[in-house]
Amino acid sequence: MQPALHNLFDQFLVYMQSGGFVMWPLFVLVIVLWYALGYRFHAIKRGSQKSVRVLIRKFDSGKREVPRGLIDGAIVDALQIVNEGYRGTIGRELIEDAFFPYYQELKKYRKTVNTIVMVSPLIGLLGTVAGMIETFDSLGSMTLYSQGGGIAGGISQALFTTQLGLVVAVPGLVVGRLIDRRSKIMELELEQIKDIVCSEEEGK
Amino acid sequence: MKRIVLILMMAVLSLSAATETELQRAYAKEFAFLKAQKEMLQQRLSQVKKEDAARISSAKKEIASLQNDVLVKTQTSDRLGEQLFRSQQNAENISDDTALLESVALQGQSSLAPYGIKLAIDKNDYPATLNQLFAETLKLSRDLSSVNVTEGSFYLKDGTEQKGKLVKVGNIATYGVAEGVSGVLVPAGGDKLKLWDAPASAATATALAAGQMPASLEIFVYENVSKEVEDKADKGVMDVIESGGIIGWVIVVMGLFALLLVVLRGFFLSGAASKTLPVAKETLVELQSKGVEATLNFLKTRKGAAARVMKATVRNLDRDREHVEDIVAEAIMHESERLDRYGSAIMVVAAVAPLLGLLGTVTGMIATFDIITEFGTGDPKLLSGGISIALVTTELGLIVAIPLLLLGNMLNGWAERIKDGMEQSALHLINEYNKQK
Repeated sequence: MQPALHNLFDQFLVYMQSGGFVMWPLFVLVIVLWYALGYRFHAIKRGSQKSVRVLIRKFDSGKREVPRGLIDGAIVDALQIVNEGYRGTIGRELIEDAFFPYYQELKKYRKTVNTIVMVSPLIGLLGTVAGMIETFDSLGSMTLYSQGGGIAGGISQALFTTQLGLVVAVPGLVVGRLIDRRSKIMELELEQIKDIVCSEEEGK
Repeated sequence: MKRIVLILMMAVLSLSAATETELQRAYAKEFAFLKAQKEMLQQRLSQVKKEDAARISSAKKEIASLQNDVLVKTQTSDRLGEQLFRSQQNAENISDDTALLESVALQGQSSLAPYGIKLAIDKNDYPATLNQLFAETLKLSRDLSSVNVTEGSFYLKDGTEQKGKLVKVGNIATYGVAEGVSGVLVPAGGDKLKLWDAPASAATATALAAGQMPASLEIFVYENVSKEVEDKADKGVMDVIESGGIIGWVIVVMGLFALLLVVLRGFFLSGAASKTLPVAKETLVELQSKGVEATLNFLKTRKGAAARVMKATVRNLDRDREHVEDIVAEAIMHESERLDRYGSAIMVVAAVAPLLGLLGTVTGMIATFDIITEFGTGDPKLLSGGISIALVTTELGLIVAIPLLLLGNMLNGWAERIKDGMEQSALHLINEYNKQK
């Protein structure tokens, strides 16, 4: 097991070296990207899967007390403010105030993910251009077969970087979009909580 | 009148009656003569016909014999023509083969000449010449495919000549071993060799000179020793920018300018961000414990965007809710002018830099094609120069654009968060104040 792992690591190093200087920044970006995606995926856990109305009724009647996710937490906060006796416009403002951290949590790293997805193909392109420059340089200086470079080295650099750039960008784009969609839906649900809680209290 | 005609008719009738018998006799005589003549003519006709038939049949016989004759002769001529064609072809083939043999012999002669082997071409005995040629070539190729150690000299990096051992790997690579210096050699032009800048090759060279086979060969393979190989000069940043031409410089200057803006904006934002939350908290504590007037006095001692927004909020706390919200929004808008400063300029540079790179690429390609029209495609060095200029500008454009995109987006997000935070703090303040009332 150990030698196999070692071998894999060596292969990875060879891959990184054959891509030239843009590979390590790209690699760092991959790690940041997946950290951000993982954070977002974790942060936008909804909690209970039932609809917002049902959840509010449950929490209000005391059947459930411990929040399991973001929406649950928001409902608990909203009900607490309402139960303290703040109603109508003031209650609505207070709830909005209390929801601010949730909104921020939903937005966190959204821009980071989008930026990395946008930038990584560009970095791949940069590596491609650098590789092509190396190829043409070695054409110019007639060092076609010299070690660690030359035509084949330049072309492999050009291809590896484009490859890694796309490998970073495409899954990041797909997963990022999915998470974006979920976070948009949850923002709408937060609005819904506000509306339901305030209107019910006014109706009482 | 009628009478005259009648008289004339009568006269004619009477005359004819008188000459009738004479006429008949004359006719009979004539008829007999003609009949005799006709018979004679018919006789002659049949005779002539017979003669003709005989002549025609003899002529036909003659024609047939002549035709036979012609046929036989045509066949003979065809056969002869074919034979002639074949022999012509043979003659051509032979001359072609001779030319081929001669060119092979000449080629062999000229190929072997650089290695000091002289080959005499005997035009009357090509097989012997070819045998000699192949024997010599085989010997030479055996020599060239082995590792030889000879005494010789090579040039060092500083241009001095150094005597030592030359380890020739066939005719495609050479190592030099001398006291102190050794390594792989590359052609220096004019059949001379020079030391290549590859420190790792020293071990290979000494190992080969000692007759050992190292595990890995540091090798420089060359085609021939007459063409000099240039040292690959280490390119500095300046050289790279320089090879991008004017457009390269424009991109670099724009990039540096944008980087300066990024630093300035980061500085602004870090100042604003570090103050927002503490100021908001202190204001809230002050407001809850001491009241509006004291808070205003406290805020007057503070500086910064957050303090100004708070001040505007506290001053208008007693107005109705929507009015206060408008005031807060306006105050933040006023501050956002400062927070957003340079943001769009940075993004513009990030967007324009790759476009400028593309422009440089196109310009470089145009230069390349100009060179092609002027000098042709013969020298790859000329072409690769233009192409690498084209690529360098693209590279510079991307090098400028990528960090600016990353940093610019990060700073925009940061500014957004600061503004959100200020708005939130202000509204929180209003809520707390209203709760207290």
